[in-house]
Amino acid sequence: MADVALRVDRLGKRYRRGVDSGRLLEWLQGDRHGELFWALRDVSFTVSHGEMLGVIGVNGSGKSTMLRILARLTRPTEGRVEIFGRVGSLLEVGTGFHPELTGRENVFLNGALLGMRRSDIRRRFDEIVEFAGVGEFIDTAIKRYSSGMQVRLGFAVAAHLDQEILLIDEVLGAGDAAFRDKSLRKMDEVTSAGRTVIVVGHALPMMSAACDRVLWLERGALLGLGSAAEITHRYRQTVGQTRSLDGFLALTGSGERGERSRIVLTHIRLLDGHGAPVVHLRTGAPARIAIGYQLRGALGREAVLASLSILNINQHRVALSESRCVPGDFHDLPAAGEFHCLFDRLPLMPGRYGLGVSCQIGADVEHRIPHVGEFTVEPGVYYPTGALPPLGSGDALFDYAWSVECR
Amino acid sequence: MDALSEPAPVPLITIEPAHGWQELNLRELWTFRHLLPAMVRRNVTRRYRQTLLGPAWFFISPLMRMVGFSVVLGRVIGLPSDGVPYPVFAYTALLPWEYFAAGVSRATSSLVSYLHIISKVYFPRLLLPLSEVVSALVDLGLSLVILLPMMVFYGYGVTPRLLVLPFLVLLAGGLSLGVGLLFAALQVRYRDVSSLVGWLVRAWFFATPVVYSPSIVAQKVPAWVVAVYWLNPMATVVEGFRWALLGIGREPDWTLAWAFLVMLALLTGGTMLFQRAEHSIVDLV
Repeated sequence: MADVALRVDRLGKRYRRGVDSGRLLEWLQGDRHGELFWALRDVSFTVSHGEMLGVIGVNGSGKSTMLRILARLTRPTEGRVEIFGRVGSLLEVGTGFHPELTGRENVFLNGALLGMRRSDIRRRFDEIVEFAGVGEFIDTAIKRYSSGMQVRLGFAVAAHLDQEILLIDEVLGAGDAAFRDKSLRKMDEVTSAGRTVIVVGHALPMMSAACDRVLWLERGALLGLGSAAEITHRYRQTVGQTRSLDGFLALTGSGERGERSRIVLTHIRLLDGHGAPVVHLRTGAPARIAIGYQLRGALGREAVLASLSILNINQHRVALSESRCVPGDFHDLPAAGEFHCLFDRLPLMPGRYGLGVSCQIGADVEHRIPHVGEFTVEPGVYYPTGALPPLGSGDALFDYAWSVECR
Repeated sequence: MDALSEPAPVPLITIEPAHGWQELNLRELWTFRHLLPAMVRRNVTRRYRQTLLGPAWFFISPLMRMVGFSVVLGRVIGLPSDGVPYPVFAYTALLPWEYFAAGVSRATSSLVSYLHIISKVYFPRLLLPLSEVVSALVDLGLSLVILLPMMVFYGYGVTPRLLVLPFLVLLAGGLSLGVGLLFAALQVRYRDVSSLVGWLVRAWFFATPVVYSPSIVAQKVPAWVVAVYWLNPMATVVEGFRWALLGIGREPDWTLAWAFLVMLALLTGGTMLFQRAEHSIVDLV
């Protein structure tokens, strides 16, 4: 434990929801509104020198809040962070760049903002220019640079920071692929030189490849901390990326729910005809869409109904599948389980679809999530010939026959 | 390795909840000292690049104002100017006043106008208003350059009294920073502060003998009002400038000591309030 680089102890940050009007008069009248909520709560961990730690979580999980606290942009509400070394934070490429200033002037300004000494910048200046590949343009105002050149110049300064601890926002990864690779290699050099890196983001492949350990935040709390492989695997299983279903999607905390709702929808899974999990569905193939639930209270005599709506990419509803039509009103549910909506032959054209789910008891909607996420339907066989109408000619497929009759 | 024999390492940085008044961290300011010149350079360059007349703007603004005041107040209205040609009379006072006013308004808006930087990288926020007041100094320096030919033209020479000038400039800068810090702190929470500042600076302008001579004041109001009038530290600075450059105006006396005290009080209070407010800016916007 002697070489701790950073120790985070029971860190918490509370925000006031809602917009502050920022008017002097209202403050004098003691008018303060907006409920309080914890963006981060009770998070503790330590990072050793030379370690690369990744922080993952969906939007609103508190990872940006944590990054802001560690970068000292904002103060925590409770808890404490101890940092044993100088910190450089890279939340943006080229912070403070001014279009009217030349590349050289901007390098010095940006470097100084990032905590470099003037002598350090001067010493590494040629290296920085070389790395950025801006060559003779270094004394030109950067408004004349292409956006790629500006990014490269910003990156070049960042790559030459000499602090022992670096905080990096993954959005830095934007930019052309070749240059990103070059920067990642540079980052590797950085960590192999015994420096500590904390990178926040959700590019899982990069995380699992580069990080020693990964920390997973969910709704402001620490959900897991462990080897990169283990955590990214668990994360991928529950969350997926960009609310894409990809077989599984957790529904924690989303949607409209009554104060006293008795049923909470927990997740969505895509299954094939045998009930085995799949990532995509297939046109014309047997399929199931499973909606996980948990009971929160005792159910009365009323029937529980589940429904599933399918939206096309323009957010227009293709169809609504309700359990009561089939019929399928359920009584005596187990405390936790899944509603399964079964298709013998999935009547959807290949493409991307959105999904909405809801659950009601009698006439009361218990939990409704109009837009859960998206899933993909792959081409398959629906009609005996194997042919399908051309893409773009409608979303749903239905059974029909053609014939010629004599009159 | 014997862990017990080694003293526990002391953290270089400790991040804790903000509790009320913050101590001024001079050690940290020192480590970020390279940032000040870089910021000043950015401010100054930004102001004249891509303008038609470039750096000439630094001269034009006070010059135009002097011409305006000379025509309207000196010629048309005929305000007395203590036996000195009115243009010189006004210009010598406009220099420190413009410096002070520019410093106050720019320092006040510094936190908000640099929000995009503040929300991305940490540095002692105090450097922002400080860099604004220092860059306003560049304008002052250039305006002084115009003053030289004017002084020669009107027949004023170099005297040892000029040695007071740097001290007066420092005083004006300190006052400007102090007031700017106070309002920058308020500006974090209340955006209407900037209009309040504009109004205050204008009122302050008329309470300061920039375009008129304090001798008029003495003629029109009772003695105790005159005593109160001289509590305005900028009156002392402005009259001090006239004394140093032209040999008229008020000789440095108790008002200078008072102005110095006011500056210290404003700087202390301003820094305290500023440090109390600065850490919440990223949360509030």
